[in-house]
Amino acid sequence: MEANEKYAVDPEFLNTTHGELGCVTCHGGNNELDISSAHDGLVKDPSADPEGLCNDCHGDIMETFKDSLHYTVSGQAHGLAKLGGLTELAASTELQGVFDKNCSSCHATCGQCHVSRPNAVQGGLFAGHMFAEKPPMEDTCYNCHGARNAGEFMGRVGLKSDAHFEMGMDCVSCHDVSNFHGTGDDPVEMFEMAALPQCTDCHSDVVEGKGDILQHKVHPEDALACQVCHAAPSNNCEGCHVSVNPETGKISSHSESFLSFKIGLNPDRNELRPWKYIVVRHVPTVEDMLEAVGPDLLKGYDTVPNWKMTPTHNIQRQTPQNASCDSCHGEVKWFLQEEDLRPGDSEASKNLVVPSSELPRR
Amino acid sequence: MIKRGLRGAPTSMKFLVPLMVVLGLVVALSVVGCSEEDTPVAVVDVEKMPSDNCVTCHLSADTILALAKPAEAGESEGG
Repeated sequence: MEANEKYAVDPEFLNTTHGELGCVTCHGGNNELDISSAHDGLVKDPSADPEGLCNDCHGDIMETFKDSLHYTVSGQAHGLAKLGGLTELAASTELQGVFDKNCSSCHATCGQCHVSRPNAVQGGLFAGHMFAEKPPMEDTCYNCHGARNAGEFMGRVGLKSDAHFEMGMDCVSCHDVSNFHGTGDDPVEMFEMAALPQCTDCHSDVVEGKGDILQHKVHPEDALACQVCHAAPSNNCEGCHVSVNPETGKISSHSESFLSFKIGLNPDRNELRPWKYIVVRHVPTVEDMLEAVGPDLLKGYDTVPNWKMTPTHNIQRQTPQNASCDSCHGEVKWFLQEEDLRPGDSEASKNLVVPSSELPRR
Repeated sequence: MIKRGLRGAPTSMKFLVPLMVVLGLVVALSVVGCSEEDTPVAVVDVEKMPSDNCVTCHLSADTILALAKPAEAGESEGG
């Protein structure tokens, strides 16, 4: 994105409620023509502070947003702590440093969804500084979640776009605003959120015992997550290693990706996700991932699976595995087996492997 | 009320008068304005700072491009 696209303001913006405030009111700096003194003291993202200017008018939203996963990125902090064998990330200076210098840069602010593209892609106004009540999926959601869920949903990653995307739906068609703005009582991890979308929110006619579809009737209640039958292969990652820039101390990471569709056992069946079989995705973690930061930092590595339940976002009505009974019950290749584990996968990964006694007999 | 007032009036008037009333309302609303954009928003309790010099540059894409540092033009995008 060129500088003129990133920073040019639409004249129409000046007539909006936000535009009438004046640039300096929110961004600081100085109302001068000299570029250097004009930008002296500039606040690039006035919404970075949840107690700041946005709070004056949007206090009800800021009250919950400051504790939301999008703002705190606590899901990543919690995951990193578990890998480190810790209950609190702050107990390790090195791991806290990794979070501060890398993971935390993924956090969102009001402006990074409603005005500009996120910092993760170097920002840039997406509509000449006009505020979007509903953030445009392609400029905002996709730029952070594009490698997996948003990219798959839009058909830019994997084999096919999601059937819902093809029908004109976007992220907020399913995701309640509380998924972004928080509820004020947010858990530390995404999958613990009660308000995540459920297929049955719309498709209540196909739940157990209802409807005319034979496949929905014959499978026992809570046996299968919907994705088991309706997801396409998704993007998986492996071999993540970080490197540290010796001059800036900035941490960056690199991993490889591969397409895969695997059905695994749900290691954490609960009220929100009760299914026995789920679709799993390989995450890139390896035991020596943080070797560049310090030795032996991931002491809890073997307690965390490398294969995770994934709410695959490439739903299809018809898939290779649901074409007929035999398409699934006669195909062991769909199921996660010991031989599918990557070299170096953690001990906990074995908890998702489908036992040979439950595999199709052929 | 309109119906009562038109009791005994010619048939053509019984159709014309209600139509005129509806049209009048539409015109009145469009003049007064009732679109979402015009809906009053929360009163902003902040001091508005003059920014006329800022917009001198930022309303012109050409000016921004001319003033941009080389590093800013064509920055690579992250993942």
